[in-house]
Amino acid sequence: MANVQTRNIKKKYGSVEVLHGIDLEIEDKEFVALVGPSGCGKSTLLRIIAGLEEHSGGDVLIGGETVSDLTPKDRDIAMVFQSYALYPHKNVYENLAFTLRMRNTPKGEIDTKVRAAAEALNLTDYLDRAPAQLSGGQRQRVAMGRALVRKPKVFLFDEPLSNLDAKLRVEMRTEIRRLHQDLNATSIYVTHDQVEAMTMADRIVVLHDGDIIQVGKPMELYDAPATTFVASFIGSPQMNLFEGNLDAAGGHFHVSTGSSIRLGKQYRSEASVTLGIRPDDLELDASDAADIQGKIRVVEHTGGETLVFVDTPFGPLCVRAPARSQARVGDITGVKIDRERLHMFDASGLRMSAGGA
Amino acid sequence: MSVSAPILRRRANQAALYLSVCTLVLIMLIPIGWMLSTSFKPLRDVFQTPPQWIPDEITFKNYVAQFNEVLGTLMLNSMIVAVGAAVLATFVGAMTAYGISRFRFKGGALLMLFFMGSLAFPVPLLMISLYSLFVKLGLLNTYAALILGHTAVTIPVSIWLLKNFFDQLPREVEEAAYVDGASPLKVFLFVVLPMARPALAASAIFVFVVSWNELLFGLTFTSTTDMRPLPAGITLVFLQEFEGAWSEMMALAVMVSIPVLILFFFFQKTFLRGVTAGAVKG
Repeated sequence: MANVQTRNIKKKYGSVEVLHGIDLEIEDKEFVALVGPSGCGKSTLLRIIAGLEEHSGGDVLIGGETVSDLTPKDRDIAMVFQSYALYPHKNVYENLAFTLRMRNTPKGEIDTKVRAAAEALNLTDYLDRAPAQLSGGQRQRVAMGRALVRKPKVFLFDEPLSNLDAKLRVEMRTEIRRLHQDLNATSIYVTHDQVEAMTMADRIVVLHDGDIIQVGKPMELYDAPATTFVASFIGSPQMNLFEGNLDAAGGHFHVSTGSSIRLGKQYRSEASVTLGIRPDDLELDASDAADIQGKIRVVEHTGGETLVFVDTPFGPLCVRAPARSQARVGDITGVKIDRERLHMFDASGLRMSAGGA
Repeated sequence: MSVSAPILRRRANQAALYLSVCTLVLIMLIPIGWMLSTSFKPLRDVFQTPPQWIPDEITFKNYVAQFNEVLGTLMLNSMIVAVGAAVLATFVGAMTAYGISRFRFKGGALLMLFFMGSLAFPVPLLMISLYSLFVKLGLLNTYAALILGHTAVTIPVSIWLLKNFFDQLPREVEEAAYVDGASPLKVFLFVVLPMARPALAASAIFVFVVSWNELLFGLTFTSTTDMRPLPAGITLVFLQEFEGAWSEMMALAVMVSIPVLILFFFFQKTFLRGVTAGAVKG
């Protein structure tokens, strides 16, 4: 069993507190992504779990036992760093073997394990090379090999893919996920890229300014973001958010320009709210049934889909349209809203639930 | 065709720069040239007037005369002392520098200033206190006295040089080693030191050269020829026992500069090469 728990973890640098009491439960064999913008404390939290950083309060438990006083060496973890952090003076073989040597593994066993790891990561042909002679992707694989050559309880990943180019990043995403499944280990993965988090993780932990904002399965976060922050952070292109207010009955949303939308649901009446609609839940609609009228400002063809940016009385709006959409810049168009998928947030940015039709 | 004023000014600046650099190099080369010239002259021509750069009579006798037992002893002594000091100052310097660079503690910056400040003490002053220390320790007229003395005067520079290097080394590589299961000492020995090779070489060469050329400690801390290093040996042999054998002395001086030249020739690149290439994003 290698579940990971953090209990009320706090971290202060001088008088500045960067983590305000993080409580987190990560199940055995689970793949959890910590996401958030830079400076949210996700890397610090990971480094505290690794034992590379001291925490100012709270407790870290691995497999049910507190490891707060243990050095990284004794926590039975492996970590993949953003910069790869390979030993520049050692060849690939020695890079992989180092951790086994440090743990006094017998020679024959080292060789077997290193070759097995190299095999799994397609590195067999490069065992004699120095890190400087490898491409970015190969270095990344060595860094992963170093982590998996010894079967640790927990894998920690600190933005491992952010130095790779886009194509390689997609490949490595699948590879890391596959390794996680093969190894049956618990993985904690830090990233600022919500796409990585969405595609790889069993559960996502969204951090913001040193607090956990929301924890949930990728689609839970996508379908029911707890705050406007999560709403705008998860999903690409990001959710359209409009500030306005609800009428007394709570069934209509008004913006300051005077325009309004019927919500088709009842919310408790609030003076100041934020309405969120994902680009996927909007549709260009030239008929009279359209909910909002606007003028097309930008059309972006990405190949598989078209992103249409429309200026409306509610503000600028992004619509995800089919691949060969005929939308043209300058056209006046109608936009239809999927009322089942509206998101409403109160003045403090918290999600509001609808109270019946 | 006219050249615009800014270009002209730039060229003038460049010319002035080259001119001053050449002048400086020339001034520094004069004694070396004179050393070379004198080493090929017979003794009677050394003080001829007007002085001549190219001797009328070129002789190799001054060189041939040096190949004797004494030279071998002096060379060996100097080599032992210089290598010993280079290793000791660099290793202890590296540990000190690494400690200050990596383990945050109060007074680290002050300590660095203290090391720097110790350079301000004149060597003769250090010599007196070191002398009385070595008397008490019974180290006079041993290699240890010279090695320790030379380490004492060079280690501040060594620490500064290495600390600056360690400050720039990516911490993540060491952290990876900790996660891989290495103790702090093993991280230092097996990860940090190999990565620091260029800086270690720079420090070792610096200490070696200082020690190789050092005269005062060599004169005072040793009392017999079998312990004496080269500079002290040269001074005593030629200026006292044979009273002013200038041309032979210069020949020997030329010979003992050669190891230093070779050292620089081969290790020049090590100073500059970054061993860290490939450790982090490339």
